[in-house]
Amino acid sequence: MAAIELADVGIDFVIYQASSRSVRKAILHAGTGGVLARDANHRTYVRALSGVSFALHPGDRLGLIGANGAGKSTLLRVLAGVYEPTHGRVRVEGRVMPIFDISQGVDMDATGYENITLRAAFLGLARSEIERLTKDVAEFAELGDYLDLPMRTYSMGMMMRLAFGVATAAESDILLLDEWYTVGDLAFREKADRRAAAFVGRSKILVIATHTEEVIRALCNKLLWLNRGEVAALGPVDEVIERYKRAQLAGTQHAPG
Amino acid sequence: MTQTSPSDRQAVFDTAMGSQAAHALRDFAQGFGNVGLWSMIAWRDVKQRYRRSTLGPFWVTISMAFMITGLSIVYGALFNMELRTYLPFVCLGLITWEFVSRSILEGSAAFVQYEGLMKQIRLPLSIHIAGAVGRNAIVLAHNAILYLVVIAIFGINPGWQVLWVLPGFALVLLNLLWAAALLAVICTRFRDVPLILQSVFQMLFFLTPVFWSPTLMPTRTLLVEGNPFYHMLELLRAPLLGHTPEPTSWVFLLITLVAGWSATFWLFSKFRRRVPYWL
Repeated sequence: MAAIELADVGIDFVIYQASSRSVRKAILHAGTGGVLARDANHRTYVRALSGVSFALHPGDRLGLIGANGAGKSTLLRVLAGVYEPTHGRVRVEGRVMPIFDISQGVDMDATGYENITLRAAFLGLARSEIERLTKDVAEFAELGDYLDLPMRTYSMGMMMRLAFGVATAAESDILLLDEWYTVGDLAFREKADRRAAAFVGRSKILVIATHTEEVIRALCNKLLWLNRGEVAALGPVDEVIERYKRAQLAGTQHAPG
Repeated sequence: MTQTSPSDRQAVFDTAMGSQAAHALRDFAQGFGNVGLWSMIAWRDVKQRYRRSTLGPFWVTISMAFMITGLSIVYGALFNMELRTYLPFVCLGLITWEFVSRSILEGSAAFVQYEGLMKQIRLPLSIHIAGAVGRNAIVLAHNAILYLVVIAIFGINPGWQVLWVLPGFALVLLNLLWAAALLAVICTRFRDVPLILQSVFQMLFFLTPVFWSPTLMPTRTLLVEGNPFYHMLELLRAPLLGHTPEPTSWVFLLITLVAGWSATFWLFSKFRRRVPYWL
């Protein structure tokens, strides 16, 4: 059974660069990003997430909104198990499929087919499973003969199709998406939409970070607004979106209601 | 859409469950244990490096052949040694040195190399170590052809002694794995270390009896007896040349195996979960 549970999760990144002083200054004046602080060893660190608590159950489709650097991607990586939090506890039950920065972790010189296999293997799929889903991915991605060409010849959108195809072709419990809509064309978005809808229809958990309101309205039934690494609001889509918009109109991201 | 049973790999990931030592142990078990994945990574890396070249990894073998020939001619004359005994010695010295040093150097760079992947998909850290060492084992297998050519040319028959190479290889491999894992954590946190390692290994190439016989330098025992790289080379080289490796080499490497894995395990218990933050 799919489940996600976060209790008082905090993520601190220590800044190791020599000129951490100027880094500190720079980020302090940026007005966005995580909160900067110093620990007992006088090291500067960015508090990318702090005090984040929520629980997701089957059927929950959570949207993540917030300014650039608010911690959306970091939160997704926490859910993917990449970052084990510096504070608090994370518990994720079920098979997780992350679709983040798709240009990373692909072999640009390998063909599309080879990358399907590679990606599926990294996601923990068995060899028999990979063979079965390759056809499905090829069909979904509609890349045709391109699948025999090296990935170097692909556009971002084409890479997206392939990565999205692999992650959604395999049966999983939790799907994590990061801003993937921005690179797909309209036809792909509609297709991906249907696929994501089918996924959530099987009472799985979906978490998606996005800036696009229509995406949120199409896919999510819960919304989490992150502001500088903290939960500014969490609740039904309409309610949170309303508050988020009001805060943006008021020109302040710093004083959530 | 393909339907497969999701329950066959029900994953539970809980940061509050189990001690850090248990997490470290699981990392090694799941990383080294997933032979299918790390061997795939290893093959992929070899293919990627030589893609679009006709001879692929055999280019390394060819350049190795040139190096062996060159060194044997020059130093064979300088050391006044017969080519028949010296060339096979140099051949195995270079092949095994390449394997040992590249495994450690590339293993220690593994996390940085796979940064993009590690920030997306949760995988055991040790899988990247196994991939880097495995990649060099594949190159070693290509270079092994040179050994076969050399013993054919010089008519060398190592006899049954050659079987010692099997336990020897296992012991060397287990030592390389801890060294690569330990250094990978350190190299990810301190980015000067990989650069230092490069120079250190360049120096070690000359300090270790790779192309000079330890019998030529009876007074410098520390470079020989106290040098783990000498013992690693010996466990592989001696049996292939028809000698039984010295018992001291086995003892030495068994000690480094226990001490090294203890240190590596401690380091992983303490810093394993910090590694993605350092990338």
